[in-house]
Amino acid sequence: MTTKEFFKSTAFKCIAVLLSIVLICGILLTFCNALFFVSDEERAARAVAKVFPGEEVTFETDDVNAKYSQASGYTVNRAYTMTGEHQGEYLVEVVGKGGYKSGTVTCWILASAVAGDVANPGSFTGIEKVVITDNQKQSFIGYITEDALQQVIDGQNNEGFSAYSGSGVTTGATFSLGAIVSAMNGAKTYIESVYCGLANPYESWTASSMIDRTTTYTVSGDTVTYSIVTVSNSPASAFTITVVVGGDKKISEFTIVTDGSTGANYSSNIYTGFVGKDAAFFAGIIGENGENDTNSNYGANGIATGATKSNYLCLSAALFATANYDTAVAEGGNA
Amino acid sequence: MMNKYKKITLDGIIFNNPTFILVLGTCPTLGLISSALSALEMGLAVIVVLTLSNMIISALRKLIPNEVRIPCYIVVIATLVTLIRMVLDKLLPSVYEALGGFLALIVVNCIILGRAEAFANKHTVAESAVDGLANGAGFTIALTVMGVICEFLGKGSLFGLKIMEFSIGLFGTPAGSFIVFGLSICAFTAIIDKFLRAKRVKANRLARENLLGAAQGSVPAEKEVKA
Repeated sequence: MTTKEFFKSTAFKCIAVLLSIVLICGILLTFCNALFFVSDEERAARAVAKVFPGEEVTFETDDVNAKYSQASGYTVNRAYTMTGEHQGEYLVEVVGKGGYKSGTVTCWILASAVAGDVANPGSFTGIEKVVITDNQKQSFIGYITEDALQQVIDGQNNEGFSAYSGSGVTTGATFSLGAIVSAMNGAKTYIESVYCGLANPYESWTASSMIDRTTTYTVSGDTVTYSIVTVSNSPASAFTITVVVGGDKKISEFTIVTDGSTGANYSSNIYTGFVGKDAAFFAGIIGENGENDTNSNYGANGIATGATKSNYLCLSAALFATANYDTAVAEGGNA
Repeated sequence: MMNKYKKITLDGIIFNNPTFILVLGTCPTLGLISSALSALEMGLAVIVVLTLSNMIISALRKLIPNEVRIPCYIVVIATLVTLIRMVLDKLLPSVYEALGGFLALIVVNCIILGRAEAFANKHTVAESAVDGLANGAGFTIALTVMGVICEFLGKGSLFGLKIMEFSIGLFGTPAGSFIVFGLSICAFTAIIDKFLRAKRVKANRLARENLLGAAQGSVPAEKEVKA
């Protein structure tokens, strides 16, 4: 085929037409993209408008602190400090994990707190409002009513927010609400850590990822008594557990003070054989740093399944207590 | 001339309804009819894309070689869908969020490509525009009607307004949408069949009367037959 024949061929015509259409479409989209571009500021303003409908508010956009923005139960995407009339309030966009079919729920959470730093810590006052903006795989998200969210907000206690432990919140969307509660607790932890100067003192301890900042411990002789508060692990809410570890670094007492499981059926499936076990036993089940949160090892260790999330929290607490025995003794207690 | 446009319109909305008769665009149908408002919004978005794509493809039908027509259609449709997404994100963010991923999926909606291939590349721009509007309207009406049923039964509300406390959760899920979709196809097909049968019976009766009239030398009812 000569060059002249090629330019007259159907192949050339096909290439020319297709490329022309692609080129024209590309130019059109480039132009329209510039025309209809939605900036981050505009998106933030939209989100704020959802939280404060019909109200003119001012705020400052904060950089998200990467150190505290990611945890097993949540991810903080954006953070704003409210100014003007809403001084002392913080708005965060949090993705709560552990929803139905391992899906997520994205919420904008407005919370009030007293700002502070490590030397002069402030305090978290409470959540003012939760607005659900997005979800993945949550077929029954429509069951989460504003009343139900308000009940969770009003039920704030030492363990943070809970959907089940005595809260009496019933929605019909257990897992979705669990993800929202994870987001709420994540917002609380983030605001406490970043704005209030209340960083988790156990950050550098072994297997501390599921341990809440409010955990305390005392040392008496060679015995360490922990009052461990876990974080929530959707759909399970936070547990408070008293763990006593003796000089042999084995658990001598394990008492669940606050049961975060979602009901009696789950409570009965929580492992009960903690006494007499050491860190090596728990590390064998959930990993040395608690990284294995699946139930693949549960059956082999005689742990009934059916309360996977609650069992993981209890095992994490047990691992934390036993693995950090030496550190606790050296520190001398903080209660 | 008017009869031609009337036929295109009636075909698109009723006799070749893309949802109930041709069963096209099933993915957004099952995904969005749990809310009447989302269904209506999706339908309107499809009307815009379908009408514009039909017009553009019809206008370019003599330029586009047969061998590359499908890639060309896809590029045009994808451009229009991207454009719609940009406009909605900028001007109607609540609609953009409500439609979510289904908005992008309009690119592969069988109705759009189907009308481009079956109609727009063989007809004039005006006819293609009417066809796009009619098929889009047929799709929108079908989705909205099913959306109303699903939302009423599944959430006890209509277009977001609470009507009653009683609801059946199943109809708020894709499984419930599937049931409503199936029953709607049954009902629509039954009504159309009944209508067409009645039309055929009437035509046959008039034809018989004509024959009898002609045989008996009375005035034939030809005009009535034509009508």
